[in-house]
Amino acid sequence: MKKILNLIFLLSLSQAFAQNNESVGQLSGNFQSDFQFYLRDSLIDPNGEAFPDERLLGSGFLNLNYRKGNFMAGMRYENYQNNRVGLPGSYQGEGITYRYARFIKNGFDVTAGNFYEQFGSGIILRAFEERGLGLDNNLDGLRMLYSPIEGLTLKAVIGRQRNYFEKSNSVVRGVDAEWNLKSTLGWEGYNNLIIGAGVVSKYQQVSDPNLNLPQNVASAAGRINFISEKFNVFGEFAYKANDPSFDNSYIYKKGTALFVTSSYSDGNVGATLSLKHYDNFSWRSEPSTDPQQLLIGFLPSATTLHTYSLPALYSYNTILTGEQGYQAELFYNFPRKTAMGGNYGMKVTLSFAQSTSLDKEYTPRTDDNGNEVLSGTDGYTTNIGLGEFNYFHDFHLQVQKKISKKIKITGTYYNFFFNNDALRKGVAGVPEFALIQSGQSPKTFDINAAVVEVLWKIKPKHSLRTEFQTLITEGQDGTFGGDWGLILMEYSIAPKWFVAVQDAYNFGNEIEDLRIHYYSANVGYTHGTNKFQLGYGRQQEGVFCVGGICRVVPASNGFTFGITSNF
Amino acid sequence: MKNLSYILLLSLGFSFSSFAQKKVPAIKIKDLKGNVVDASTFENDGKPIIISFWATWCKPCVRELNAINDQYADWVDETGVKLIAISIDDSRLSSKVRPFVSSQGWEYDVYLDENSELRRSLNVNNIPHTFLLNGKGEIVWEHNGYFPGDEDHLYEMVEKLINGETIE
Repeated sequence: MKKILNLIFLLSLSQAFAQNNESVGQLSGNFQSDFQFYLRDSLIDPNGEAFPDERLLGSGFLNLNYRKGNFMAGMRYENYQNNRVGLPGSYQGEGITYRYARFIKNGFDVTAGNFYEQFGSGIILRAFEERGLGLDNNLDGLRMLYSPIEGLTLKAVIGRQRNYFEKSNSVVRGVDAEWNLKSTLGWEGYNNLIIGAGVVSKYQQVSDPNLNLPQNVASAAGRINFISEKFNVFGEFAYKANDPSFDNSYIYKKGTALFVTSSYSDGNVGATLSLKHYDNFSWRSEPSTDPQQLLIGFLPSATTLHTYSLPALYSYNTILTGEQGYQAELFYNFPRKTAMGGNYGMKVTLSFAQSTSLDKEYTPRTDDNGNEVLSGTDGYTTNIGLGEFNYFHDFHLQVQKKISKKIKITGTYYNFFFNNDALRKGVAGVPEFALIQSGQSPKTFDINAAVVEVLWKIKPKHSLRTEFQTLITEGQDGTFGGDWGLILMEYSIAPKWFVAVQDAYNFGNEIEDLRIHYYSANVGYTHGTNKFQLGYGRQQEGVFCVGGICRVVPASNGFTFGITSNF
Repeated sequence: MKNLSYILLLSLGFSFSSFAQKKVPAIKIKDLKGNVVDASTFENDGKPIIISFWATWCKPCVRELNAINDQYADWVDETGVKLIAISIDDSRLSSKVRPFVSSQGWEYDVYLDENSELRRSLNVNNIPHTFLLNGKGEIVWEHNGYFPGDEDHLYEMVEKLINGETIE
């Protein structure tokens, strides 16, 4: 009763407010909900392991943001009843997982509550979210930004990390400064130099019967960015104090990370070159946790993010405990009315990336049972040079060409080398030391794939998009692997409707019973800022990689329904 | 938690019509020269602005920006509209944005929102997500996703704005 009275009071108050004051601020938000009704499919799941007891699962969220002048506040409500198969099971239940208040005044910007933040390229601090992957490591605490003079930004943060519906016991705190010299000194012309540095440390409550684990661990990074009319060079180097953890087999070695990325752009030509060298840089607020959770830092992978569904089955994921590599990419636009460009021009992308292990010299100790172990030691020393294991390479060539006013074709060829043990068997990458001891070699796959996409504008607002994909590999990991073919046809009537049908055929699976067709159909309707999508069919096994671990989403069969809305 | 639900109720209690039109908040993003820019300062001499959230890896986004690019010169001539493309590529890919934009031949103003702060404050869930701002900087229309032909619908909205018609 009291609640209802309060509500009536608030409503009348707000009405009065609204009548007296035209502008009470801005309220906006978004909403998403996804449901899946599962059907038992004995072909893809003979034992029913991926068939949930609930049969119908649903999850979603609602964000609210309020703003008036320099004041902002907001919250997010999340619900998982229960989370859909393949997403982390620890997302179960419902609650407010994010709320904040923020004001900005005279260059001073304060957030109290949950916040996201990134220092530099994120190596020592990146609080971020990827809702679709179920990843959210926001901090709950205080964030302060201050810009005392033009071109200088100071940041200070302190808080505890989100861990599903709980919070980490550890405290994360950090400061960062970035100085844009051109802005401050008023340089003329295009050239600019931006320098920055940050320190992040954690306090963790830990005890271990055998090891003396540090309670405070610090990391620090410095960065420099040079920008000219055609070039952009960014480099960041980070250092981390000893931080024994499950990820690094409880070794006391210090961590280092180097990330350099440069680009060149001049009219029709663009190029990038990136280098990475990460050594023992798994950076989490607790030494032992769910591998997807409590990451403080983010190591840029320097690889292409593939989005066509077959090549995306073998996507790369940074190995936090140590790796090195590079990526080079070239973009070229053959202008229209040239021999190669034809009437409408032609765009070409050429890319190569490689990652290998570090050249490590292990320094194990002998434990009480006479076994050689790494825990409690510095683990290894790192030499400059290539390591013993190749983790990954990705060569791809993409050509985009508009054939006529109505037809556009994109063709891509891919060649991957994929170290399955390193990239799929958990956060520590290859248990290399165990491999070396046993003299075994990791399981690796060679993969060739091609995708042709044809976009046909049939008449105004009507178009048909078709994808033909194939992926050829002998690699097989459990039920997952072998050759694939896929056809997708998507007919759209802008701006409201689309219908898509797809058949993915795993024709080369090593297991003959799994050489099956995955048919599916989807229809979507957009009304203003509301979108509704209904689907039916079999979905093939998928892989989501995040935070140093890849999660396999099992194949499923059934109906899906999704709603997204903005207001 | 209880207090929060009151704030929520209070917020919902305001009749929606009394709220001001949405504007772009004072969130800091970076231009391709590394300069920090306050997103609330976007302006186009009283003409409409299109803001499009995209990423180098997002195919429908690139398709949309290419489709608009084919007609952009005409749009600018006819209505004075300006397109601002905000990339949400994270630090893995943000260095690719500048050469990518240059090789696509886009004439847009391009910015980086590397940790999705502006994206979040404008409630952008999935990309592409396109906003249309009137001459006063108020968000009068928005659209999520892209299919060929959506750009024509967007341009109809721009023309309506220029002709002083109201947009649903």
